[in-house]
Amino acid sequence: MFVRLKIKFQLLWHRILFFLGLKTEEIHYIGGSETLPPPLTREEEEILLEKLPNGDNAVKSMLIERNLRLVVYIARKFDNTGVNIEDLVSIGSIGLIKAVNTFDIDKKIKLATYASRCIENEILMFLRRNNKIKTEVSFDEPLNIDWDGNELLLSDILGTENDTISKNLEEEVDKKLLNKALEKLNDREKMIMKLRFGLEDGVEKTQKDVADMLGISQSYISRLEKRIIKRLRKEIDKMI
Amino acid sequence: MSRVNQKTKICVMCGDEKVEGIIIQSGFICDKCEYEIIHTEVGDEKYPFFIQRMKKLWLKNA
Repeated sequence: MFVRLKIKFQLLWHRILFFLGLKTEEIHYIGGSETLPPPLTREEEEILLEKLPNGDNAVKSMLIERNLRLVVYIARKFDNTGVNIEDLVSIGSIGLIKAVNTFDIDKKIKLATYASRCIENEILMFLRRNNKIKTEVSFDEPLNIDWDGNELLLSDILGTENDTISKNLEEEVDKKLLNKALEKLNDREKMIMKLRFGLEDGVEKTQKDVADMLGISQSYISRLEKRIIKRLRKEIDKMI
Repeated sequence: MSRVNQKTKICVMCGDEKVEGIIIQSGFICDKCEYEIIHTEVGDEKYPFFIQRMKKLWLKNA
């Protein structure tokens, strides 16, 4: 009985302030020393929820205000997502307003339970949407605009070269032909080709390096190289 | 008997003077904006606007 009277008095006070257009100077800062209005007790909530279907704005205001702690509590859980806490609290508040407006008293669940889901859902939807925007790039994204106002779109520069598929195949064939041709050379000639063009380890050595390794002069390596390449070309021509 | 007129309040969302709405943390949201908030999804164009305006309920200088 006392709780009912207390709620009635609070609602009346709310309506008087509302009617007169007066604002209380109770602005609470997130993380500030001031505390937010305390959550409603089960009994208080029941009394207010009975009046909710009438669309009473004072009832809605109280239900929202007295669940604001829940918004801050849930928003803080997402503090490490890169979105600042003020934004998270705003998004959570939107979730709470949605919750109070869509709450069905016949479902027999606590408003706080339903509101928590709505607040969390609102924040998660926002984060998901934000992440999507960050990782997605549109094909129609303008990269540049010329003097005539023509846009260069991402789709304009994307594409595959005509020989993308055949190029790799041809390279494979060339490699096989070269290996076959190399078999026709003697060991020293093979060694020179492998070292000079990095056929085994991908490291191309200079004529000087190869000359030092084999104990011959660089000019001799140069002459040998020309001769070997000529021969390889001949061998490959024969195979084609 | 003269009827006392209900005072208008400035909505923190649209900035218009309205009579009906909800009061949260001393900030007033008119019925029209409240309806709009409820029917706005996170991907809607107006959503970032509501996020910014909602801060007025919490921070004096927002």
